[in-house]
Amino acid sequence: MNKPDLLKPTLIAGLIAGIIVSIPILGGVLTCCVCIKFWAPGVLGVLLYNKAAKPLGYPVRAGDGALVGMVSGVFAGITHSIINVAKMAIVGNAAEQARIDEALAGLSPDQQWLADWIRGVLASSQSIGGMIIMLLIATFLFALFSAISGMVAAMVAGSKGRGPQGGSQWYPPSGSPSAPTTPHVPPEPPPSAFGPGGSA
Amino acid sequence: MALLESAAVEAPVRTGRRAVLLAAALSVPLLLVILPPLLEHAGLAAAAATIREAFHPFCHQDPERSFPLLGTTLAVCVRCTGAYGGVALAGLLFPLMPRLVPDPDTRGGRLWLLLTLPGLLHPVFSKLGPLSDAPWLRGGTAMLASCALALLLCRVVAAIPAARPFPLEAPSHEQA
Repeated sequence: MNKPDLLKPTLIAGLIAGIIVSIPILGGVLTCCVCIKFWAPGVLGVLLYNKAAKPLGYPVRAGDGALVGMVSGVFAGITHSIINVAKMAIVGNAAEQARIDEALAGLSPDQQWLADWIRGVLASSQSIGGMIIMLLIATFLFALFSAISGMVAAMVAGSKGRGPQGGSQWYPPSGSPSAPTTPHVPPEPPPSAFGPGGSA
Repeated sequence: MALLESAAVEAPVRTGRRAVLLAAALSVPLLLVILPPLLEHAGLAAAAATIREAFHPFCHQDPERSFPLLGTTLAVCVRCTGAYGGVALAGLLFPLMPRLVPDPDTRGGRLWLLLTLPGLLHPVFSKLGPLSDAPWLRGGTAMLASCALALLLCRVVAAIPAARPFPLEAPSHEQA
């Protein structure tokens, strides 16, 4: 059974979700909606992957959904971080710096240490090292939560095409030439590299 | 036939070193959330600000809705802290109860998703009025939802078959 291409749907989902969540007002609204920012790349990736998998008769399982979601999340995190850095470089710095300077100007002379400290902190968080750390954290969070959302999306989307037993059984639409006569049984997994299988 | 069906549905669950790695990975977000107050307390304000800034796109970070620690607040709000805490908790719980978590591809797995309902509904009902907006309820419902989902993810990862390190030799039945 052919597996659909993983790269195309995840790349499209990651780019779209990364761009949408980076739009200032829209991104804020999405954060209020049960952190949709986190969930969007995984769900979108699985929807696209599921669309590509259906003609092949490939059953999208929770594990596939988690993998698709994770890769989509990585792409979304990278896209989001690149857009943020570009935004900071083009428009963000000047406008924000002016606002911060205006706020700090209101401090009394004996509070100048606080103004200097805030400026130092902001400068370091906008440094190259700070941006790399932010990119890594954002990508990790996107990947983790998109893996979860992708898994859930695969569970929900996959349940519509499966038989009552769920699991690995897959029933393509009636009339499809690829309709199997017997349920698909996955091959016996190879022995674990970390010792014998079974529960802990 | 029933055995065949159960074999098709039930994938073997592997724990051990993989579970330790998974638990470590799942606890990273919670550690990052707790780190800024500790770094500020140690005089590393710039590093703390970088981590806070990294969480800024994902959380409103309102100090009034965040847990206090060492005179300042955690990097995210109570609800987000609960969500990250639930993920970390799942990493610790899964090795203790791998068989209690259903296979996500079965009906049991889909029923397991009902555990996320309190976390999804609380933000709505607390805004509309019927439910309290107490911090413990915000954090607790988020923790339950994220823990349930992360346990399913652990189940998926634990069911991935381990790769053979180096299959250099052909199987014995082919040699004969």
